Amino acid sequence: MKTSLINTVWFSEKRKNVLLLLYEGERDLEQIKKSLNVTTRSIMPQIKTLKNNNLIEQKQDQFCLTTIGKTIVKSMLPFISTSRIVEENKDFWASRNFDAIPPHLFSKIKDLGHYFLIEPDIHYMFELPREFVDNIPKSKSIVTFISYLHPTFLSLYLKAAQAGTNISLFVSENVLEKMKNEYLEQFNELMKITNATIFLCKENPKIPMVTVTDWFCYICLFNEEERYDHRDIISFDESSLKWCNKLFDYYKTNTQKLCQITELV
Amino acid sequence: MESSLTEIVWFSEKRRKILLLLLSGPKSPEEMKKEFGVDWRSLILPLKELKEEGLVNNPERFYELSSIGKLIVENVKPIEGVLNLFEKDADYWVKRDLNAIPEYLLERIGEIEDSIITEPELNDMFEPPKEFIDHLMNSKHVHSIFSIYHPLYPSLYSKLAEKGTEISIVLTEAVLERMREDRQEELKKIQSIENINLLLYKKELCPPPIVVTDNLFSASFFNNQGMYDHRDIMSFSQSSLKWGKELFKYYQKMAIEISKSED
Repeated sequence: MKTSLINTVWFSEKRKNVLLLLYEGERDLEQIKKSLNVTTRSIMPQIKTLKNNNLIEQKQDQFCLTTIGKTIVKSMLPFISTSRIVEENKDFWASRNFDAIPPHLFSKIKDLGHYFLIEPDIHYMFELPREFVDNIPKSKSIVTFISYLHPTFLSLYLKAAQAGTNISLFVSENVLEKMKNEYLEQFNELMKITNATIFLCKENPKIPMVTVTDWFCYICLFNEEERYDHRDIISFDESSLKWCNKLFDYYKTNTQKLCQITELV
Repeated sequence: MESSLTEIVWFSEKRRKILLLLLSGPKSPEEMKKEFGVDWRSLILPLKELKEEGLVNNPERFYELSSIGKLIVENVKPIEGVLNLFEKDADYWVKRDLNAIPEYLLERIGEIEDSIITEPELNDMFEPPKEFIDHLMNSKHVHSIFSIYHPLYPSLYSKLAEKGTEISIVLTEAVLERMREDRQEELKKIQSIENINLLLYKKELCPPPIVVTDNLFSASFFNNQGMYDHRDIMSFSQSSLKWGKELFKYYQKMAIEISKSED
């Protein structure tokens, strides 16, 4: 029996799983049963439906996606991963302010992949999050934007720069003022190191902090009330690093719109 | 485990249509009623469900997507488009060879909206549909790929050019050969016209014949056997034109200009 395509791909978890499995490559029935932990009796009707709708085909023992099957699964993936991300921490995502994220990157938040949500620990409320501090020394090149300055931030970056890490630090005017007034020595020292560069953003992205290195990315977003509630995101996925780099491309190139960057001398 | 967002989006057509409508901006109850042509009462329940799921907000008189609503629906639109396209003409698409469509455009094939499949009656097998001709003749600029020689096209395009239409044509080697062999006069005429830009595509992968203008997109994708089965897809929607133009550009980039002075 032929069913509507929406019904075929979305109404049955089993069918969806068969499609997703075959997207990784062709499989025989035994492999399908083992991967999905199902019996022949329960999976065969689903395989039949998929075949009748021309989404999969059988070549001898092997099942694989047809061209339209492949095209469909490929377009299903962004929805599936976006839903997963949102559902994992719905309250968090529902309460974020996304003003700092341009539309073309907003719709691709799924690229953050297997991220971790870091909730503030009341006992360490006033320290830089450990997940951030621990991963900075593991990075070989760091790009960071900050619109607030944590007291231990500069010494952390100074240490990394001295160890040879490439650093591009983008700061808001407020941060620059604060650095000059309260951390002048560290600031000057950082400026002296050739592999570290500080940029001033004239128009600030509305975001407390975002960092991307060759190893991880770390994102702080304001909440709905435009407050920083110390709930942060860390991810190590390749796609998340690319996403963050594109975010920085946006901050850098949209100089008229977002920030005019002048290198300090 | 079934995801609740999958359920909320895909298990009800009404909810999905509301979400996709709100993607274009906040709507008042009146606008929604008019758009769907239904009683307000029948929209109350789906809207309530969408609000409870946190996808839709209802500040004052308007309904709008929440930020996660927007995030989700942006990712519903492409797959919804693909499913609609393949659903509507399943038999056509199943039998197509889509290898000539580059990956990045195949992913976005759902952007071909409101398409119709045209299949000629047996007795006018060799004439393009009237709707096609009408739209083509009223176009201000025309981009075409000729990978099949059609005897009517050269005169049609000459006529178009005389009206001042800007025309770019990508020819495959086989078509150019054919014209050089037994359509010398036609070829010379086309080459001599100022506002026709002729390009030659020499790569192996045969592009589908397409026509994309400022008011028409038409493509003749080959079937699974690599044959032209006289079934064309045609659409007049903006998003289809955009997609078609990108397909043309993809092949245009690989083609080289045929000089006007060539004999």
